[in-house]
Amino acid sequence: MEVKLDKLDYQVLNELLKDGTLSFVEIAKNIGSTPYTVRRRYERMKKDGCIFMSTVSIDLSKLGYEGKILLLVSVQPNSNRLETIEHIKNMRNVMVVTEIMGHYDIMAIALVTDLYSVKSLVTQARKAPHIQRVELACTEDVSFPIGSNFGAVLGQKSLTLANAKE
Amino acid sequence: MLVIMASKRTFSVIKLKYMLRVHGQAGKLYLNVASLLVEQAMTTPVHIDDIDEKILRILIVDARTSLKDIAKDCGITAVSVFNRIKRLKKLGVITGATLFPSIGILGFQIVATIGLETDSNVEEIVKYFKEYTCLVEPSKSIGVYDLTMVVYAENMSNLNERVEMIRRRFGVRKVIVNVWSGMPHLNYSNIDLTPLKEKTTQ
Repeated sequence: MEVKLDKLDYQVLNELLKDGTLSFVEIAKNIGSTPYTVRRRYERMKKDGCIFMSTVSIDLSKLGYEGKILLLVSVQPNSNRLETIEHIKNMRNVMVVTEIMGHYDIMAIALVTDLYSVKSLVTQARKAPHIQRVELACTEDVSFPIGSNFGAVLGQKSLTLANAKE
Repeated sequence: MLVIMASKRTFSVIKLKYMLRVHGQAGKLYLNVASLLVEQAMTTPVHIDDIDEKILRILIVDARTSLKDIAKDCGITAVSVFNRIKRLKKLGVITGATLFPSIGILGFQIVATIGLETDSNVEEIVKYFKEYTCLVEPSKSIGVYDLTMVVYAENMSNLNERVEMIRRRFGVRKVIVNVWSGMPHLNYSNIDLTPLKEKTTQ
């Protein structure tokens, strides 16, 4: 579905990407519009599927997590990947599972507290159907649910698009 | 200041404060000690109770939920929800809020996880990549990759450009691109927000 957004939409997106809890009044003040318009734009974008959700960023190290691990999974050729994905998705502390193209077939990102939890995740992943090989990379990033500078990167892009609309 | 301390630490802080008072060396020295302890408290996990956890879960799904709605769900007053969120921010558990847009409307078609093999100075390379605004979450890593990051690209040639830019950086030995295909499956309800509690009961 093609949705056309104009300059104001991108400006609203940029403000919200930078701080998702800004009130409509504050956004309106920042971009020189009225709260009513901003609210209408926001609700329309949400309805059209341009915005999935607003979310808080949580620093998981404060809750006791040490980092994230990428589980890089290879599956047997000609097998149903969805079954493997379903199994991995339901493992505890797995936040994202996605199919990838490249060295591996499936990648999952999970949260770990210590070596023991890494071991248990890998053991669980090996039990998934059609699995061939599981490799891993532990990263020290602890932001959740999305990367620490996600909002900044996408906000920048949104701003560029807004300026291009002039 | 004392609010920030974990309960075990509180006692020692009071003791320190008392000692400093006795020796008449308040002021700067006290501040230094206090800030050192705050720094320590920042890196130690904080305690959150069931209601905090519930609030966090609501905010993860929708950060714009009104205090009134959260209060209703948790069975406490809106004022105490406000205070709890304020506390979580002060403790550094909540670091900010953002939006999860459909990346397509921002002109991005490709999401890729990039893994690097590097020479010894990983820290420096991470710092270098952090300055680039088009790379999400470059972080040091152990395992098959030395450094991982997520890249958003408009199309194949755009992705190539970014990969080329990464490859040119001194110290990078190998760049491995894993392009996400298909919709990612998210499962945030699966995450345990109090992993330490679990551990102690085991």
